Amino acid sequence: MDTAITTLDHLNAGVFSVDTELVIVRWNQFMASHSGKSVDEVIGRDLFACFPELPERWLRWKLRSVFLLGAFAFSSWKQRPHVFRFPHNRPLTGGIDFMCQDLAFLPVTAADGTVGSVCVLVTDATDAALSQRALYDAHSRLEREVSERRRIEDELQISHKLEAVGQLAAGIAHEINTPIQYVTDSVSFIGEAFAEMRCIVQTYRQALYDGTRRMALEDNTDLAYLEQNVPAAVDRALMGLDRVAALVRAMKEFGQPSLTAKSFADLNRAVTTTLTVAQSEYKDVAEIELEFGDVPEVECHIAELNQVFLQLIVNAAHAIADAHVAPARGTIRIKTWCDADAVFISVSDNGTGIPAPIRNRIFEPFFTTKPVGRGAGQGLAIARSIIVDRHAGSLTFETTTGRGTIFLVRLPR
Amino acid sequence: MTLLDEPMRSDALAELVNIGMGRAGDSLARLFNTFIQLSIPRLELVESTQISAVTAALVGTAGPVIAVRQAFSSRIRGEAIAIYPAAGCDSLADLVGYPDVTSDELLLEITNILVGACVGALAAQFGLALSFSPPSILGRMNLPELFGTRPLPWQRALIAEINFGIVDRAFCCHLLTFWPDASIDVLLRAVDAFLARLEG
Repeated sequence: MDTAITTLDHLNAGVFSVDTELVIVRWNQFMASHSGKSVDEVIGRDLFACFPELPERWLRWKLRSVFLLGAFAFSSWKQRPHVFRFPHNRPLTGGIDFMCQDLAFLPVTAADGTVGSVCVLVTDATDAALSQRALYDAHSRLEREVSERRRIEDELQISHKLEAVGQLAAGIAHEINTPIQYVTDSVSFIGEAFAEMRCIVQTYRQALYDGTRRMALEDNTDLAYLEQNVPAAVDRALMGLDRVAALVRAMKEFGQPSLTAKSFADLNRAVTTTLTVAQSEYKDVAEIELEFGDVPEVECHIAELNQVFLQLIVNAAHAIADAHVAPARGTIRIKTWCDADAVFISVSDNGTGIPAPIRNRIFEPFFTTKPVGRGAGQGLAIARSIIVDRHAGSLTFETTTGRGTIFLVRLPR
Repeated sequence: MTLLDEPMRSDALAELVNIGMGRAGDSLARLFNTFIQLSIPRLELVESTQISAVTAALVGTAGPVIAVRQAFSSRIRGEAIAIYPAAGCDSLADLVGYPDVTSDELLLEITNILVGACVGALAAQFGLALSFSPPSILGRMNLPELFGTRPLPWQRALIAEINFGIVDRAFCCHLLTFWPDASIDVLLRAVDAFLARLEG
């Protein structure tokens, strides 16, 4: 018996027993050293009187079930980590507040077959708890990374699709350019030829009838109607062709491949070109107000700057669309000016403004608040890279929630 | 000779299981202070290759369940699996007599009580004192996934199935107790000893 008690005292686990009245009848050295209460202080005393901080209702239920059923009971650190507020076993390395414990409640049967006492084994599960916490953290981190990677892959796919669409548009613009040219030439020729034919008809009419009558044939073909309306139709066709040609030119200019070397370009013209290309994005939601200053040509990668202007105009249109209910329209103001060192382009809108919590994130790659398909979340990140990294300029913004946003591009001269 | 080849043994085992479960039901009723409904235990000797089909037949569903396991050992070693409906046993929270119990803790608590009462009472019929491991949650799954497709480390097992209900509560739990391979022989000898005592 003495040997058994000595062994219990040397166990690296807590062992104590309570009788049916929940009076402590055994208390090993582990329990004494970790609780700070010696054997003499606790033996013969009520468990909850000695440790009022114990979860009493829970512990009474556990002990009652063991007394009643004569069966084991358990508790795990996962559900009840600190039944006893024991200090942890990491005085140097730390990392946890209290010892995590597993408890096992063992029925001790008396001679009459009833459960006379319950022996409770308290084992230190701190290491397992810390390992599990580390695993859980690693798992959560991996899940976040996998989720982020999936999102980036989705966005990249959209981005590649958009790039392909852009290249396709530039290619189509190139292909359309030539037929537009000869259709325009032909329509002009038809207009001029019709005017001459009209003169000839008039001359014949004068010669034959002194201009007093018309031939029945003229009435049958409604020549008067044709004389009146064909020139207008030709003018309308030419006007339409002119607009198509302008759009095609803009698309070609906009989509021209980036050159490795910079060249001088007119930024006012670049903005105009971009506005032509981006018309479908803003024409239903916003008016455009232009205030072009007398700015010098800037040495730049103009195709890349076109991309920046497009991004700012599209963002402005989206912000206005979100803030205004049709038919109400907003305004996009684009202004250019310069000083001795730099040329400035500002794009402002009276849209939603950028909410305060995300203002410091809008230049992050793949950050977007737009639904999938409306924005890949790369636009402003790329725009900033183009302005800052490729042109040694700056791209900044000021915004007021509910009032609108102004983006300012500064390009050194 | 196998367990179920011999009618005397089979009947004696069924009777012992019945008595054990009856006593368990009485203890549970006193613990929960309510009437516990227990089915008549069913015994099956099963090959490991048939375990999923037999389990599904005993439980009566292939749908989603929550399974909690607990091992026991002495001269016999085995494992009990408590199978709860997918909703778990939250409806029993008020029976455990302490507040702030989580769903997982409740599953573990109820399983431990059922296994301790039933398997302990059963073992007592055979004169065996068991030790129990802490229960652990196998997870939420469809019943056929319980044993998966991995090879099992036993050839055949004796299964005792009993289901529990509690009066006036929409609660049902199936408790499957498995004694694999060598433990069956120990049980056989215990049954033989029981029969010998009766004859003596």
